[in-house]
Amino acid sequence: MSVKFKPNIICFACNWCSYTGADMAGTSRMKYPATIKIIRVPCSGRVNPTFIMKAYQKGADGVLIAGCHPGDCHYNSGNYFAKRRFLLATRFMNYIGIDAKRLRMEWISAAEGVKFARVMAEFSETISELGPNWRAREEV
Amino acid sequence: MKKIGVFVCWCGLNISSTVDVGKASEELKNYPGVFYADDYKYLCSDPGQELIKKTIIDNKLEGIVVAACSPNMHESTFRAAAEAAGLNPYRVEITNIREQTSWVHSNKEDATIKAIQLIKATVEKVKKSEDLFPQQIPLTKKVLVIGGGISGMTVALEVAEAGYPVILVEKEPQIGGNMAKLSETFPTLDCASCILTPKTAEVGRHSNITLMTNSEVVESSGYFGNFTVKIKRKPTFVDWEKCIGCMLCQEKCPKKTNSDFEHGMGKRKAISVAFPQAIPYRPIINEKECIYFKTGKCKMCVKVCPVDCIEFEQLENIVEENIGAIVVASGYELLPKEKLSEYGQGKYADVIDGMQFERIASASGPTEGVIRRPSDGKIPQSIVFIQCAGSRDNQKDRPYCSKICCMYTAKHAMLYKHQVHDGTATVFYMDIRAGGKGYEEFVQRAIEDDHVLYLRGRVARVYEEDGKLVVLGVDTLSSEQVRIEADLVVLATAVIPSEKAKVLGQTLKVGTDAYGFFNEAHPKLRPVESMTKGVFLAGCAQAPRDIPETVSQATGAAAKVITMFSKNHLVSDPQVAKVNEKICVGCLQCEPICPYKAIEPETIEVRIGHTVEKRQVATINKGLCQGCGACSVACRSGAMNLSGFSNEQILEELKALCL
Amino acid sequence: MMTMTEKMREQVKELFVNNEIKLFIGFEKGFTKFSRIPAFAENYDEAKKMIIDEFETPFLAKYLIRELEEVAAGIVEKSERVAILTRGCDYLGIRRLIVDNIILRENIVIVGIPCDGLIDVKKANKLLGEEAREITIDEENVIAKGKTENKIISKAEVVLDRCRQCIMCEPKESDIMLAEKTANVKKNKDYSKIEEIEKMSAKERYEFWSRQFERCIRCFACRDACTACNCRKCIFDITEPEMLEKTVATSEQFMFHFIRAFHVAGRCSACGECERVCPVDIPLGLLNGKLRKDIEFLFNVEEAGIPSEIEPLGEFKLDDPDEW
Repeated sequence: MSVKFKPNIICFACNWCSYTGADMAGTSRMKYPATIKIIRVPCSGRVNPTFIMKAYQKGADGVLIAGCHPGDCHYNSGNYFAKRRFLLATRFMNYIGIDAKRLRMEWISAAEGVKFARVMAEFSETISELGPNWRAREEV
Repeated sequence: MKKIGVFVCWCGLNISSTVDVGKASEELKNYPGVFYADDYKYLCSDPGQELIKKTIIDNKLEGIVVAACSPNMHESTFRAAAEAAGLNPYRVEITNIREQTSWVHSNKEDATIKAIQLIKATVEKVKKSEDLFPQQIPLTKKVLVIGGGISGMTVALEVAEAGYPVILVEKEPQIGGNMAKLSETFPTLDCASCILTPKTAEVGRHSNITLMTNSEVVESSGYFGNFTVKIKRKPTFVDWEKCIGCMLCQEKCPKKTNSDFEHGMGKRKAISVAFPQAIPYRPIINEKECIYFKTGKCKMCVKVCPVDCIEFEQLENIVEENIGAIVVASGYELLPKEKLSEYGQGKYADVIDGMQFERIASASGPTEGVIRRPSDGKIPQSIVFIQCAGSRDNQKDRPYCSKICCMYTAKHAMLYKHQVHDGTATVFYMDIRAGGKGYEEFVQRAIEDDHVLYLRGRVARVYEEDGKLVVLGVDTLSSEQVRIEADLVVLATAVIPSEKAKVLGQTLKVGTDAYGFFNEAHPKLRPVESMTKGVFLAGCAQAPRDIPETVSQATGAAAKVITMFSKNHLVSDPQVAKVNEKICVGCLQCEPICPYKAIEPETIEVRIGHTVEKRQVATINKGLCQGCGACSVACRSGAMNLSGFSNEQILEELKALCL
Repeated sequence: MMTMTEKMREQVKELFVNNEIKLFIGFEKGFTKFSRIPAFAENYDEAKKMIIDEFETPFLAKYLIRELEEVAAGIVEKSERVAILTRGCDYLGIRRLIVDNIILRENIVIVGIPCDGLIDVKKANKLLGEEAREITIDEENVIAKGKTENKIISKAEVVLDRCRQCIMCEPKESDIMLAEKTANVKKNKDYSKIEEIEKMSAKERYEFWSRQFERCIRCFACRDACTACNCRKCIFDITEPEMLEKTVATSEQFMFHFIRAFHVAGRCSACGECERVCPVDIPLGLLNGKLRKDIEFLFNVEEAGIPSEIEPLGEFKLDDPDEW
C-alpha cells in the first residue's frame, strides 16, 4: 500500500477536565495528529460502553476515553463508575476478539495540555501500527 | 428534517490559516438538513452575532451550528444571540475548530477534512436536539443551622444579619459548643469565653434567630430551596418561658452528679445549668440522676422555685419547619482515651485528654484555673504531653492529622509553665505542624521562652509505678529510649466527628467519609457545599480545623446561603437527566449511582384501556440533578437520558465522526 | 418416605384449601418422554398432574413477572400470592426480580427443592448408544434402558453442563422446603473453558466468536428467558435511538451479543437458561461467565452470580485496579 494508513480515532472527553485540557493543548499551540476527533460529554461517566462498540461498528479504529483524575471528578464519582465500566468492557471486547489496545482510558486534567497532546500522538501511533480495524465493523 | 444553519468562523487567521473555511461552508451547504451555511471573519463580534440573529429570523432556522472556538469560550454568547432571535438556546451547538483543530494541526488539508467532519457531526447532534427550558424552583428563605458551636453561631449571625430568619438547633441545652469549654486560645492566649460570650449573647437575643437547644433534627425531606425538617425537642422538665434563671433550684438540689460539660473533671447538680455564661441561661433536669425521677420523692426544686416552672411530666415534642437551606455545623469530639491501650485505656485518673486539661486550666472550670491533677488535686511538677494520640495512626483507623493538636499542646504546655515556673513540661511529637499566622512563632515561644522540652518520638507505653506515671518513649533524634516520671499525662487525642454525624448524614442524605466527616462537593472549588444541593458545611463537621479557619468557612457557608436567598426563586439548568416513564421499569439501579441523590422512586398512574395501572418509576429531582449523566449509562433500556447530551445526540455525532 | 412429588401435592393442597395462593407454578410432563414443561394450577385438581423429578426443566422464575406484575402494580389485591417450585438457580432469579423491584417477596411462596443437578438425556443417550426408551434415576446412578441393552451410568457423568457450574444447590430461604438439604456438594468454580478462549490470539478469538454469532437468528430467546432481562421495553425493541439495527450482519451480531451480555453484567446468576433456550447453541454462558469471572477478579466480588442490592457496576471502590 502506497498511501499511509490514517486511522480514525474517536475521543470522548469530559467537559470539565479533558476537554478543557484539549483546549489548553490548543492555546499552547501543541501539535498532534488530525486523526483524533473529540466528542464532548459532561463526564466520563456519561460514556456508555455501547458507544464504543458502535464506534467500532461504524468505522472507528480506536477509541479513547478521557476523564478527570480520580478524586477530581466534577461530579465526584463519575470517573470511578466509568473506570469500572471500562475495566470490564475492555476485557470483554478483548475476549470477543477486538484488540484491547484499540481502547484506551486516560485521566487528563484541565491543566495537562501537554499530556493531552502526548497521549493523542501516542495513541494515534499505536493505532497506526495496529492498522485499520475490520473486526465487528459494518460491511458497506 | 430540521432547518439548520451552519456558521463557520475564521477567527481572523486563527482558524482560517489552517482550515479552509470557505471550503468547509461550501461543503456543508450540500449536507442533508443544512439550509444555510456561510463563513464569517469574527462571529463573536457584534456584527457577527447580528448576522447569526438575522439569518435565524430570515430563514426560520430550527437549529444552528457555530464552528468556531471552544464552547467554553463562546457557547453562552452564541446561545444568547440565538435566544434573542427567538431560537431556543439549546438548539445551538458549537464545533470546536480552533483549540481542537486549527491550533493543533499544521497540515491544512488534514485540518480542513477534520473540521468538516466535526461540523457534520455537530449538525447531526443539532438534528436531535430539543427545546429545553430552565425550571423555576420556589424558595423558602429560611435557613436551618445544625450545631450551636462557634461555626454554627457564625453562620446564624451572618445570615440573620443579612435579614433572613434562622433556626439554630443544638443538641446540648446551651450553645457555645466545644469552644465554650476552652481555657485560652492560641496563638494569642486570650480567654475563650471572653471572645465567645458576646457571640452567644448576640445569638440569644437576635430577633432573626430562633434558638432550639436540647433539640435534634430527626427527619428531613424535600430538596434545595424547599426542605421540610422535623426537629425533636427533648424535655428539659423546666418551663423555660416561665423560668427567670434565678438558679435557686440548682443551689438547693441535693443531688450531685458528674458534669458532661466538665468532662469528668467537675460535678454538677441534677438540676443545673452547664456553666454561668450559658445561653440560654435556663436549668435542665438530668432525668437519670434526679432523685424524684428515681424514687418519686424530693421535689426540692419545686419547693424553692419562685415562679413554679418545674414540669416533671414534660414530654419530648416534634416540631416541623419549612426551610430553604441547611448548614451542617455538627462539630467534633475527641477520640475516647479508652480506645488507646498503650496509654492505659482510661484507667489512670491522671492520664487526661486535651479537653479535660482545658477544663482544669479554665478560670471558670472546676479548679478555677489552677492546674491540679484530678486524682488528688496536687499541683503537678512534671507533665508529659503526647501528641498524635490516635491521629496519624492506621492501627486506630485514624490516618489523618487532627490539625489542632500541635497548637493546643504548645498552648497547654505554656499555660502550665506560666503557672508552675519550676515544673517540667515535655512534649512527645511526630512533627510540628504550625502552619498559620503567628503559629510557628507561638511554638517557638513555648520552646525558647517557656522552656518546654520537645522530644521527637512516640510513646510506647504509660503505666503507674509507686504513685507516679511512667512514660516510656523514644527520642528519635538522639535514638535514645526515654523514661519520664510524670504527675500528669495529657493526650492530644484525635479529633473525630460528632457521634451523631453519621446518622445526621443519613437523615439529610449527605455523604460522610470513612471517618464520619461530611463530604464537600468539591475538595478545592466547593469546600463549603455538600454533595446535596442546598446543604452547606461549616467547621469540624467537615474536617478538623481551628477557630479562625472554622469562622472563615462558616462565613463562607453563610455567604452561600445569602447568595441563594438573594433571588426570588431558583433556576435549574435544563441540561439534566430525564426519565421516559413509558419505558422505565422502576428497577432503580440508577439510584445508587447518582452522587446528588436526585433519583427517587415515584408511583405513577397510567391509564390502559379500562384500568388504571399504578407503576413505580424512577423520577429526577431537577433541582438536585447536576447533569453528569452517569445514571443514563446504568439504565439498560435507555429510559434514563440526559438532555443536551442524549443517547440519540451522542450516537448521531459518533456515527458522523466514524465515517 | 414420601417422594418430593407427593410432598408437593400435599403442600399444594393445603395452600389452596387455606386460600393462601391463587396460583401454583410447577412442572408437568411434556410432549416427549423426558421433557418437562411449565405447569400452572389455579386449584388443587389442576396441580395433580405436576411432578418433580431430575430431568431437565425450564426456568420458572420469569413467569412470576407475568403473574405478579399486576399485583406489584397495585391493580389487584396486594394479598394475592403465587407459589412456585424453586431450585437454587430459580431462587437467584427470583431474588433478581425482587432486587429490581419487579415483584414483591410477600407475594411469593417459595416451595424449595434441594437439587444435585439435573440429568441431560442427550448425554445418557450418547452413552447408551441409542435413544433411551426409559430412564430411571436413583441416588447415585442413572439406568438407561434401550431396545435391548440397559446401561447403568453414574449421575456425575450425565449431569447437565450448566448444573456443573451451579452456585446454589437449594434456595437460600424458602417458605416450604420439600426435602432435607442435599449433601450440598461444593462445586468448584470452573472457568476453564473461558480461560481456553482467553489463551487464544485476538484473531482466533474473533474468528471463534464470529462463527458463534453468525449462527444467531436473532430470536431473542436468550433475552426472553433471562430474569436479569426484565426491562419493560428492551433496548433492542426501541427504534429511537437505534442501538441495534435490524440487518442480520456479523457486525450487528457482535453489537447484539455485546449489548446483551453487558446488560446482564453483574446481574447474571449463572442459571444457564439462555444457553438452554438458544436454538442454535451459541455458548452464551461463555460470555456471561467471562463477565462474572472479571467482576469477581477486578472488583473482589466473591460470587458475582448472587444478586446484591447494588450491582457491581452501580458502585465503586477507591482502590479498584487501574489496569486497562
